[in-house]
Amino acid sequence: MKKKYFSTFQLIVLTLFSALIVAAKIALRLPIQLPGHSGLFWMAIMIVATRVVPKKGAASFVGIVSGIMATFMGLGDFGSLNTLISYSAIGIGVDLALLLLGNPENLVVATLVGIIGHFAKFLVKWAFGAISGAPLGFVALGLARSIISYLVFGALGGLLGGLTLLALKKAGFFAYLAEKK
Amino acid sequence: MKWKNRKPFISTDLEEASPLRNFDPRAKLFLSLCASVVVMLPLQRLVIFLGIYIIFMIWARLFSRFLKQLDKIKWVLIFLFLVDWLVVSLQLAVEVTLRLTVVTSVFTVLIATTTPGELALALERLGLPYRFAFSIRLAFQSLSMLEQEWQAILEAQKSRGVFSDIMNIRTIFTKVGDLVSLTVPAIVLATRQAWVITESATARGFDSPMRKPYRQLSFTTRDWVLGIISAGLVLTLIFWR
Repeated sequence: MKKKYFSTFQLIVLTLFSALIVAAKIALRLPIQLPGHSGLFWMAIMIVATRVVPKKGAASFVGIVSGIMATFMGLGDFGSLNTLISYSAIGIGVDLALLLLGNPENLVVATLVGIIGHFAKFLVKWAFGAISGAPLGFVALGLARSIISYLVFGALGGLLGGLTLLALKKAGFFAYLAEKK
Repeated sequence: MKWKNRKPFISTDLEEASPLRNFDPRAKLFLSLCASVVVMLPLQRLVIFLGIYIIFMIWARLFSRFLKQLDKIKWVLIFLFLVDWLVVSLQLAVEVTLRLTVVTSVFTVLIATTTPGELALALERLGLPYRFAFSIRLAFQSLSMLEQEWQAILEAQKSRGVFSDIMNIRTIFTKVGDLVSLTVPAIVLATRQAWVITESATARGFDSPMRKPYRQLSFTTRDWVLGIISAGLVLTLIFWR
């Protein structure tokens, strides 16, 4: 039988991480009225997922599955298409950032990956504004406040992801995982 | 830490009363994709499409969903409309507003009348590997359980006094490390659950080449009619002189 790219366990764990992201977005609402604050848990789980399943495309998979879920849950303000593409873009952004930057256990790398991944979502919003035919300057102006917020929460989410990885490593989680595989 | 009120249960909001509920998800996906092409059309044709689309939404009993979707972005639409009108022209303002209206609502037809399981089945029939279609179904089935896990972890950590201070934009920078006490148990529980599901799925022949889905989709005449009308309308609007 042809060997699958993701093993059954890897596929299922990535799926559950995707669901964990959507569940966190619903269950853990921080009292912060700023755009992109949900990126805190989002980026953290995404970064942990790339270390639990250290294969190219793991984050993209999590992004696409969580995007499909969020679309059906009616999350996001700009319609289903935007929700699906922006969630997927985060995953692709994280995968690309990790290709360039390497190990997410390094807190600086994790923070940068968080920024790049979350910024990809912002770019999708910007692209949707551009597709609608609105002058790019206005779209940029409308999103100017969001951009800082997206970068900050992306960075914090990345940092949280890095700290989570270190805590998991310290607790022997990856040794446990190696046994299971 | 003070948290906002949250929904007790997670559910997708399905419009059971819509006549589109009985159509094949592939036909509805095709309809939505056709409608999303229309976004690039000039104003006159966009207005014609939107008129037909609204009549269709009323027939499909999805008009309230359409309005609900627009309500979510009303301030963005108003802002863009006013700025475009004042700085460029009224025509551009109307065009941009209508395009955003179409782009945010085109997939309502599919999402509001299809369950995630049906979508997974449709994607599988369209060539998506079974394993990935299974992932979509599994993700939805696990959602309630994981939401409860998050809440249980949150309550447990609060009772330990981890989030005794109010978390806001000023304190979040210093308190981000505390959030590890939420993410670590959630990751561990999800991984453990993944292992249990893996064992169960493997025991049931998950990777068997002889596997067949329990439910089958059938593409009937009415689905063909819906698909042909959608494609015909969009092609007419694109090539109409």
